[in-house]
Parts: sequence; structure tokens; C-alpha cells
Amino acid sequence: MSAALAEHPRAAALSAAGAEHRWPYTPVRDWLASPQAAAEAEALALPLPAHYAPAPDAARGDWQVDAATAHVVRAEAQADWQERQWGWTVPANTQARVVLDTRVAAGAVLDLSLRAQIGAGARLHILRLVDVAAGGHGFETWQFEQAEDSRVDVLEYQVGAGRSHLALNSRLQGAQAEFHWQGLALLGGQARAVAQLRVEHLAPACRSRLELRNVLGGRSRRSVIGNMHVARAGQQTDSAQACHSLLLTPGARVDMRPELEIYADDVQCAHGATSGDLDETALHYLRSRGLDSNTARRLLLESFALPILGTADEGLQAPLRDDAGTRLAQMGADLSAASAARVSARGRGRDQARGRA
Amino acid sequence: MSSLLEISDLHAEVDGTPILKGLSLTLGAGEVHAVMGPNGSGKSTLAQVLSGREDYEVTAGSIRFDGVDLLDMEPEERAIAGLFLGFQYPVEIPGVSNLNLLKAALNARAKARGEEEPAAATLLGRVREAAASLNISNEMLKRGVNEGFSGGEKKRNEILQMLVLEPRLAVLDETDSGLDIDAIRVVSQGINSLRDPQRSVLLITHFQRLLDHITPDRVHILVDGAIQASGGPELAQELEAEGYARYAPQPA
Repeated sequence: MSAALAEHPRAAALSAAGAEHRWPYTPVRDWLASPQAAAEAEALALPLPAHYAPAPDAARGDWQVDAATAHVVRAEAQADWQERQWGWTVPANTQARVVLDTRVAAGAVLDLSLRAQIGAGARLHILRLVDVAAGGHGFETWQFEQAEDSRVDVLEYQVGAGRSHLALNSRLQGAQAEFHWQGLALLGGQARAVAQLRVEHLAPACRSRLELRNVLGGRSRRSVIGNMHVARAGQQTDSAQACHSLLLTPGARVDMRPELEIYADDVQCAHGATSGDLDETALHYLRSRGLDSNTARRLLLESFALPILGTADEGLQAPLRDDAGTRLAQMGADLSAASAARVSARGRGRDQARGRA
Repeated sequence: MSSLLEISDLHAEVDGTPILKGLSLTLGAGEVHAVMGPNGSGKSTLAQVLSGREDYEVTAGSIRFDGVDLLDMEPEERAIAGLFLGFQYPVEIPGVSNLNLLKAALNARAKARGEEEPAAATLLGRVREAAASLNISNEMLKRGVNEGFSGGEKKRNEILQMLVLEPRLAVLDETDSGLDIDAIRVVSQGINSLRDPQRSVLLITHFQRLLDHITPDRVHILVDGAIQASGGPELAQELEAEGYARYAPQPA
């Protein structure tokens, strides 16, 4: 299957794009050659609230989204190759909520292409759930066209140890259109998760916000490019992007690259990024109050990650928080075990220094 | 009076730099002692070593807490055994509310002692009562731990945690720094309210002014990593007048 994947036009395009941009992550062809992680992460199990109506089960199609719709795509079997090409329309002055729930199993491939037209004054809220298992590949291309006063909110929750690549392009064509992206990625194993997020401010007074939080363990790698294009017509653009990452293991890595292309002169384009380990002082503070190190780590991880999920639908918040809480607890426990091994090695050293060994 | 805390010949270093160089100190149950010293004398290192901070390495000496070797205990075990550290720079933890931290801390104690977790209403009543005495509002309790608190509010919050957790030994690391006169009074009242024959307090401070409100049983002068002099409350008065110069280590 690997040979077929390497010849796939999307994989080839990704490799070419990688070369062109000199992206700091492994190009797709290297992904395919590298060994797959043996460990399987726990599969995502989120019950969708009943009020989400299932979307038409079609590989290709155009339709109107105007209420709560759930798209569920499963690439479940080894060598299972799922392609989707969808076009959505959100009529003017309507609201739509969509859950886009994609799961890719080991050895499977998902190739999803999504176009959306968001009418004037319309609102589209997307909950993007991504779980690509180790050895699975997810490729997604999203293209949005936004009319005046429209607003798109994307909440992304990504887990797993597989490889995923998302290329998003949102074109803010009408004045005062808004695009908001909030993402939480909890990755482990050999995960590679690339997000190339491009927002084009083509009309006056548009707003965009990107906020990504990543908790990375194992040898996972997260790459984010936030590309803000402000055309000459994009006066009074208000744009900000932030990417905060916790690197829990020495092998974890994050690449964040803000790219600003600004052709207007009255704009605000902010960007910021932080990365680091859990704050040892905060950890000690909690332990000094009597919390064991597992609990203290879990609380700190939750305090970092969970606020992102605050914009989810009420019916989805609790299961999302539960799922993230469970994963974070596991990541924290792995970390405690590693840290305990380090401390006990040092403790032996201390005992020797104190002449008690 | 039996001793609750017994530090003998304590040597500790940070990143290979020796900070504590043979510190000895004994604190009895029910006593309040003050450790005073100039910047860089090792006051905060003492507090951190007592609380079990991992970056501080004890190279020699011993600390016994109620007869048990404290250095063999994890930070959380020390806390559950009844040791409390009031931080000089309390940490902000957005996303974990003050109430939830106190609840988690009390539950951890109950679990370690094989007791039932305190009922939510009991906990809330206890916290609110202590908070009211420290002028801490309900709104502040619901906020993230120390999130957006001023320096003085953070210190009051440390005292709140102390009152709720009811430690047997409270080590207060420069709790008075950054407080205005009114806040010092409120904080001192909190500390004084904890005083009883079973509880001890180790006040680590730079200035004498906190001791106007809390009369210590003993005062220790910490200079260059060791206690250079100990005495009654009058020692603090002398220090205020004369400074630390006479305790400076003599050049060899």
C-alpha cells in the first residue's frame, strides 16, 4: 500500500509543497519510509448528541448545511482508502453547526477535500475531531469563502499517534467577516500533525484568530504555519495567532511559523508562541499542598489544555473534557514514572553523598 | 517541651553552589521562631529544602520532623504529615480554582489517613469562614489559583490555605514582603489565630516589622548559610538598630 500512497497526487503535492516552503518537518515521502509506532493509542470514543443529524453518506456531493449536522468518516481497515469531496453552502443569515468526526486506523488513509461557501451574515461552527492511529494517514484540504459579516468558528480536537496534514485556506471576501480557529492537539508516539492555516483578509475590517494548544509526548511532532495574507483592500484587519505547546518528553517537537503578508497599511497582525515543559515551580507548589505528583501533573495539564474546549456545544463539552482529561492523566502518569526513575537515580546519589548508601 | 523540628548541620546546594553550610535549628511544638537574615543568606533555600523542592540538593546533615526523617519524604508526604510552606512567590495556576485546590488538598489528606473525604458543605463553610477573616471574597475563591491576584492578595491566599489545611508546622517564607500595613495586620491575625500548643510557626523574614504583630519565642540570625546567633525577641530589635554587619563572616 505504501507504494500506492507515494504515487498518490495528494502525497506528491504535499512533498512538492514541502520543498517549496522549506518546511521544517519531515516531507511526506520520508513519513512513508519511517517505521510505524507499535503502540496503539486509545481510540477516541465520543458520543455525539442526538440532535446532530447524520449527514448524507456520500463520497462526493454538495449540500446545504443549516442545522446541526454530523459527518462521520471512518477509515477502519488496513489498506482502507476513504476519499471525500464535499461542498457545503451556508445560506445568508443562517446558522449551522457541524461535527466533522474523522477516524483513521492503522494502515488506512483518509483523503478529504472540503469547500464551504458561507453567505452574508451566516455563522458556521465546526467541531473537528481527528483521531489518526499510528500507521494511519489523514490528508485534509479545507477551502472557505466567506461573505460579509459571516463568521466561521472551528474547534479542533486532535489525538492519536498517526500522521495528518491539514491545509486550510479561508478567504474573507466580504467586509467584517470573521474566522476563528481554536485547536487542541494531544499527541504521542510517532505522531506527525501538520496544520497549514492560511487566512486571506480580502475586504476591510475582517477579523481572524488562531489559537492552538499542543500537549506533545513520545516522539510526536506538531508543525503549524499560520499564514495571514492581508490584501490592499484589507484595511482595519484585526488578526492574531498564538501557539502554545507543552513538550513532555525530550523527543517531542513543535514547529511554529507565523507568516504575515501585508499589503494594507492600517492593520493589526499579532503573533506569539511559547513552548516548554510543565512548570516545575507550579508542580512543587501543588505537591507542597499535599497533591501527589500524578494529580498535580494532571491538574497542570488540564489547566493548560481544557480551556480551549470551552467553545464546544454544551452537549459535547463534558464528553470532550472527559476524553481529554483521561488522555492527559495518562500522559501525566507516564511523565511521573519517567521522573520518578530520574529522582530515584538522584536519590541514590544523595544517599551516597550523605554516607548512608 | 518536645521538639517538632530538628535541623542539624544541614548542608544544601543549588546547581552545585553551596548555600546552606551547617545550619542547625530546633523548634518545639507550640513555638514560634523567626529566622532573619540578609539577602542571599540562605533563608529561601531553607524554606525550599524543608518543603522538598527537587532542585535543592541536601549534601549533608539531617532534618527530623516529629521524630521522622523529613529528607526521606516526598513533598506531598511532608504536607500530609503537617508541614506547610507559605511561598515567597505564590504560583499562579489559571484553570484550577482556589476552591478546587483546597478540596484536592483536603481530599489527599483524608485519603492518606484512610478517612472519608470532607463533605462539600463542610469544606465550603470552613473555607468561607477563613476567607472572610482575611478579606478574601467569594469571587476570588472561584478564580484560578492566584490568577490575577495582586502581591498582597497572593500572600493572603497563602495564609488562607494555611488556615484551611491546619498544619502542625507552618514555614512562612517572607510572607510579609510586599504587604502594606493593613495587610500585615490581617496576615498576622491569621497567623496568630493558628497558634496553639500543638502548632509551630517558622517565620522567615527580612525585616523586623512583622515581629511587631507576632511575638516570636526565639529569633535566629541566618548569615552565610548558618545560624550565627539565637536569642529572644529582643534580638530582632537589636538587628533593626544595628543591621547584620556584625554577623558578617570574617575574612579568613
